[in-house]
Amino acid sequence: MEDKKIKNYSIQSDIDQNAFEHVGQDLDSMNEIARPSISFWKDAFGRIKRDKVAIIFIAILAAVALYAIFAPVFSPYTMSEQHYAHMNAGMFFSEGDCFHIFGTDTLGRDLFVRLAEGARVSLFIAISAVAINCVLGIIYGGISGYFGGVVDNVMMRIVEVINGIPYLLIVILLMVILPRGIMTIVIAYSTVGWVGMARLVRGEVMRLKEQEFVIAAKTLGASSTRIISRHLIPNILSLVIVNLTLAIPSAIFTEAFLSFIGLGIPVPGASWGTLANDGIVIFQRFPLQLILPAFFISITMLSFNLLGDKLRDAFDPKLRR
Amino acid sequence: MKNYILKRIGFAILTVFVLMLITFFMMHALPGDPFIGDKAISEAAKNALIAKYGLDKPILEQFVMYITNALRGDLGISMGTNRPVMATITSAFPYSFELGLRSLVFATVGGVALGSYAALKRGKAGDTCAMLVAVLGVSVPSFIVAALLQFFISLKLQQAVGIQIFAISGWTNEFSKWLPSLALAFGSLATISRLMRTSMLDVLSSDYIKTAKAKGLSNSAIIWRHAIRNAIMPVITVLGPIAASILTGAFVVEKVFAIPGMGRFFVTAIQSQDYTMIAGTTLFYGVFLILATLVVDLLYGVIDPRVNISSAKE
Repeated sequence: MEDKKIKNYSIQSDIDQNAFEHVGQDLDSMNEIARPSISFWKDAFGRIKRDKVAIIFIAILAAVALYAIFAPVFSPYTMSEQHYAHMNAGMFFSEGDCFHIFGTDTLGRDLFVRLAEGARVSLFIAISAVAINCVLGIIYGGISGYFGGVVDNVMMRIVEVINGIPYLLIVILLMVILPRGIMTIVIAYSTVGWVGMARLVRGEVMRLKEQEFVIAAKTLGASSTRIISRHLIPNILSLVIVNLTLAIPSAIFTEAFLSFIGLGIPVPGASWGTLANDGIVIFQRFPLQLILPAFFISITMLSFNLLGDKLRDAFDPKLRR
Repeated sequence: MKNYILKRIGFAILTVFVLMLITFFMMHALPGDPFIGDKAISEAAKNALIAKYGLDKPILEQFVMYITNALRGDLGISMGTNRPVMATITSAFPYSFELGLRSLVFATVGGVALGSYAALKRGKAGDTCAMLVAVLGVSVPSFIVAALLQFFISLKLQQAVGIQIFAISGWTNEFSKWLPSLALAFGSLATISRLMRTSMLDVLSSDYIKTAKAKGLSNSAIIWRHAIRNAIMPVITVLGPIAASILTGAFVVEKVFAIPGMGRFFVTAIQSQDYTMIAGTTLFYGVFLILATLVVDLLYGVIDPRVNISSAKE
């Protein structure tokens, strides 16, 4: 019957049907897998590993972290120890058995140790604030997006009101009433910082929950908790990681900003922001004391920003090969 | 459309109310005492002051008093300087406003230009350079930019040339206003240029650009009439938040360049626990920015006829 059809067509055509050969379907080639099956995460990390620029930024951040962890441990000086003999010393200052890699500040304190202590404080504040925001944002946004309807409406109106007020104003007000300290900055920043993440997670959850795999899970009788924790959260993790990386520089900036207007951590302590603030006073005579903290703030923010961009590309399924 | 506008205005009013609630209750939760800085005042004088500011009344009554006064434009009397808060704001705000406006214009024009340029030169050296500038702008805090500009451009240039072109500080002649505006604009310029680049790349690969090319329009006509005008839309949506970050960022830039704007009063007020001043300034800034965002949101529908905001949920 098949042959007959072909014959019928060929009668009207000028082309000789014998020039063609019927090959049929090659089932073997259809079953062949185009590429080895790798998971989403393996694919993303594989791409990051191949990206030289991303590796450089990871290395810079690792170096800053190692400096923050080990410099105060191995340095012969402490952060508040004063050397009256040589104040405002320059880079690689050495005299007798005193050696200051980054010089000293106005009070003769070793800047190498102070910057490392500052790095500890600044990075701790940034990372913990962002982690808290992230958890709050996922919970709030997840609930709002998943349940939708009235719950979503009410929850998003609250977010809109908080979002309408410039966050720095609220952070400043909170900093004014809370006692000074590292945790205060973290708390003040987290009270408003989660809003952005919540909106993001909500949007993504709303998009995902209409997809077939969630409907399938529902049909199989999975509970809400199971769907959220096993199906939705793993799928938004890449988005969360990218935004986490991009939120850290803004937290570092906020800390520096607060220190700069006099709301930083109290005096014996130091953060990059307070160091920059101290440096700016005597900047025109001893520029090094501003340039060093400024360099650390900038290079860390830069690395996180660019790493975030690279991670976004690596996680983008559209760019998957 | 009408519903949308009413809804947005309703939200703005609600946000202002919440802001008032926050400023009011936070100032009352403050530890310490607003008279702590004054030299040993007598008990009678202190009581008179407490009565004057209404600090002895129940908190709810104080709040109602606060709102009605605020609506009349009376933000109370500064506990530090003993001048009305509104008088300080009206004398200092023009400086901050001019600085902010200059920065906003600078950031928008510069950001759109840089972003479009990068998109047009996609993948070439020009793109890389422009994006390097953008990423630096996002990564270097404004006070550092301000200090660096002040040091290298005003001070070093003055020493090199012998005459002063850009004043080191102050807000007097035209040139003295450039460096602070530039320092304040730099971060926002970077944000806008990144956004503009993405949006421009999107537009450049769309069908109507191909149509314009196919019908033989010149390159400049395509870029100016078709590409930029469409690509600029997402930039307009972020102008509200950008204005907020510029105005709050002005605190530090004003401090570096010693400009007699709001930032200076705000920082002094924080240090001296001047309740009314902090609350007044925050409220003023908050309301100003909420209104700015509202205007931007409403304008968006007018500028881009494709946006049907009445049906959009967010």
